[in-house]
Amino acid sequence: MTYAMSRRSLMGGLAMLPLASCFARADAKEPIRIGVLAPLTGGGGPYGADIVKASKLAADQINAAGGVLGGRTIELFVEDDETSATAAVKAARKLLDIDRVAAITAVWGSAPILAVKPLTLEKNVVLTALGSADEVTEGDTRGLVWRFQARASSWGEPAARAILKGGPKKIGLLHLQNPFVAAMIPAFLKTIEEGGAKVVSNVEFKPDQPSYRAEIEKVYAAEPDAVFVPAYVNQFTAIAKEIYRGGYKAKVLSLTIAAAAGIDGSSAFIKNVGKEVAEGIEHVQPISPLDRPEYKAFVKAMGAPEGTVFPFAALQYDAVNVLAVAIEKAGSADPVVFSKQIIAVTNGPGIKVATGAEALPLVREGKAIDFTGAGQDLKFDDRGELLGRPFLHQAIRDGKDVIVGTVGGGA
Amino acid sequence: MMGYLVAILTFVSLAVLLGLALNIQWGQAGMINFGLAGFYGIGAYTAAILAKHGVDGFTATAAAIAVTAAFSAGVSLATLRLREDYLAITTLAFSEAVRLVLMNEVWLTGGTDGIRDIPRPLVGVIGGEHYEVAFLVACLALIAIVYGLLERIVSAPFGRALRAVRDDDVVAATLGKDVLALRVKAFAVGGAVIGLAGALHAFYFTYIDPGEFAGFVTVYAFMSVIVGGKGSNRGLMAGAVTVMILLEGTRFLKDVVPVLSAQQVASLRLMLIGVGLIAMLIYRPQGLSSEYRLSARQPAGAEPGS
Repeated sequence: MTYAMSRRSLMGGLAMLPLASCFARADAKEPIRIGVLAPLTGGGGPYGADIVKASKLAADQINAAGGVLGGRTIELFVEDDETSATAAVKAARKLLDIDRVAAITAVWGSAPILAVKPLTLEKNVVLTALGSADEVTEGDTRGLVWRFQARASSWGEPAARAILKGGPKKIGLLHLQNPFVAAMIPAFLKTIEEGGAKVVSNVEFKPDQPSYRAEIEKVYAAEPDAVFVPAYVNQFTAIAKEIYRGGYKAKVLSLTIAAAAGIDGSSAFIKNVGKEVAEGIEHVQPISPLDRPEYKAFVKAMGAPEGTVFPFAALQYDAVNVLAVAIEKAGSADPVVFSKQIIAVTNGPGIKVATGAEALPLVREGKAIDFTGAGQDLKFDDRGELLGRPFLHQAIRDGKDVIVGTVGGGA
Repeated sequence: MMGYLVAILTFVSLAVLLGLALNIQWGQAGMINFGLAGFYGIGAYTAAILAKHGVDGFTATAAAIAVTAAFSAGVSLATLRLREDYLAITTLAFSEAVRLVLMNEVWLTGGTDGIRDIPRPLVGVIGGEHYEVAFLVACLALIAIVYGLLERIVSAPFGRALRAVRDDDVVAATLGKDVLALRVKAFAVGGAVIGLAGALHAFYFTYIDPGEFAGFVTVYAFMSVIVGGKGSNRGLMAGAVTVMILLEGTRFLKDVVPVLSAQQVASLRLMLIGVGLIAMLIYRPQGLSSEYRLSARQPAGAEPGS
C-alpha cells in the first residue's frame, strides 16, 4: 500500500516538474527565447564558461539597447550538453519542448551537434554550432543550420603551410581519431606534397589512452623534421610530456585549442606541462584576429586581459548578435523566416557594424548593414558555412604565446 | 511539452530495461556486472550495424538480443572459477575491452566517428510525426513483456535456485543444484534484456558512438537497482523513475536558483545526484521495495522458507 502511494506521488512529481516552470513564466511582453546548449562539463568543459559568458554579454547589450521587434528582450536558456550526444539530446528536448526556444546556439563537439541537428530540424528551429565536423552542414539543413566556426576540412591547408615554414622535408603526422581531425587530414597531406615535403609517418591515436608512447615512437622512428599533432588539450598534454621525456628534437605543431600557452602564460596546458616541455611547441587554429578593434572591444567587455585568446566565445557572441539582428531585419521571431535574413545582414553590402547594439538602430531605420562581428568579418555561404576564417600561427617561447603570423583565410 | 515528456519517458524506459537486467544478474543471482555498459554497447552496435546493412529493425533487434546474450554467457563461462568480486573486475575489464574494440575496429564500427543515420524500424508506416509516441508505446509494451517474463522466472523454482546460489553457492551445490548452469543462464537472460535495451537506444538516437557506452550507464543502472531495492522488479521500476527524476528534475534547478552560474549549476547537479544516492543508502538501505519472498504469503504453520 505504501509502495503504491509512493509510486503515484513519484509520477505526479514527474508530471508537475515541467508544468511548474510553465506557470512561473507568463509574462506580458513575450521575450525571444534562445537556447545556449554549451559544454559546461566533460571534454568541452574548459571552453563552456566563456561561451555562456559571451552569450550573456551579447544578450545584455541587445536588451540594454532596447531589445528587438519593438522592445522584446532576448532571454537565454542555458543547458549543459556534458559534451555527450545522449546528454545533449535530453537537454535539447528540454529547450525545444519546455522553453520553446527559437534557436539553439553554442553546440560544441561533433557528437552533440550531429545528435541535436535532427531535433532542431524537426521543430523548424535555428541551430548555430561552434563545431567543425564537415557533416554539420551536410544533408538537407533547410537553411536552418549555421556554423560559427571554420569547417574542419579547411583546417588542413593552413596547418600544412604553418609546418612548412621552416622548410622541413620529412613530416610526421600523429593525429587523434575523430571526425573533426579526420576531415582536416586529406588537405593537409595534399598541401605537404605540393610544398615539396614528404609525410614519412602517419599514425593515429584514440582519445583516453593511458599512454601514447607506442604511437610517439612509431612517428619518430621515421626521423621526421617536424610533427603535426592535431588533438584536444587532454591528449596533447600527455603527448607533449612524453615527447619531451623521449628527448625527441623535431618541431611539434598542434592546434591552439590543445597547445595554447596564453599571452600571459596562464593556460591550463602550460600549467600542466610546465615551461620546459612547452618550449618551442607551435600551434595553429582559425582564430579571431587579435588586433582587430572589434575583437579588442569584445575582450574588454568580457573583463579579460588584453590579448586573451577566446577560441569559441567570440564567435558565440557574434552568433547571438547575428540572430538578434536577423530577427529585427525579418520583423519576425519565426526561425524559418529570420534564418533567411542571416546572409543579408552578414554578407553585405551595407554599413559595417560589429555588435548587435550598433546594428539594431540601423536595421530599424531600414538601412542595409554588413555585420562584421568580434570573431572575424562574418560571411556565410548558402549552406550556412562560415567563410574566410583566418588562421593564426603561434609558437610558445618561455611559457608564453608569440605570434608567428597568419596563414590562409581571408584576414 | 508533450514531446519532452515523451522523450523523458523513453529514457526512463531504457533505464528500466537496464535495471531489470541488472536485477536478475545482481539482485537475483548475485553476480555483479560492472561491465553493463559494454554489453549495452554490443547490443546497440549489433542492431545499428545490421540495420545499416539493410536488415529490418525487428531482425536486427532479435540479433542484438541473441548476440548480447551469447556474449554474456561467454563472459560468465570464462569466469566460472571466479568469486563475486573477481567477476566484477572481469566484467569491468570486458566493458573496457568492448570500448576499445568499438573505437579501433573502424571497418566495422566507424571508430570514434560512431554510426549515424541508423534507419528506424517502421518509420515509413508510422510516419515521422507520431514516431516518438509510437516508440514510447513500443518501449512500454516491451517492458511489460520483459517484466512479466522476469517475474515468472523469479517466482519459479529456477528463481528460488538462483537466490540459493546467491546466498550460498556451496549449500546450493550440496543440494544438487548445478551452480554453473544457473549462473550462466541468469547472466545470459540479463544479457538478452541489455541487448534489447541497446537496440532500442540505437534506434531512438539514430546516432551512436563509443562514448555513449562508458561507465556512467552502468552507474545509473546500479543506482536504479539500489534505490529501488535489490531483487525486487517492482521496486526497480520505481527506482529507475526516481533516478531519472533526480537526473532530469535537477535540470530545472537553475531556473529556481538564478544566483549560481551555469557551470556551477551543472556541477552542482551531478553532486546533488550523488548526495541523493548517499542519503538513500543511509536512510533506506533496503531500497523502495524489498524482494519477492514466498514465505511472506504462506499461512502460519508452514515451513519457513528463506
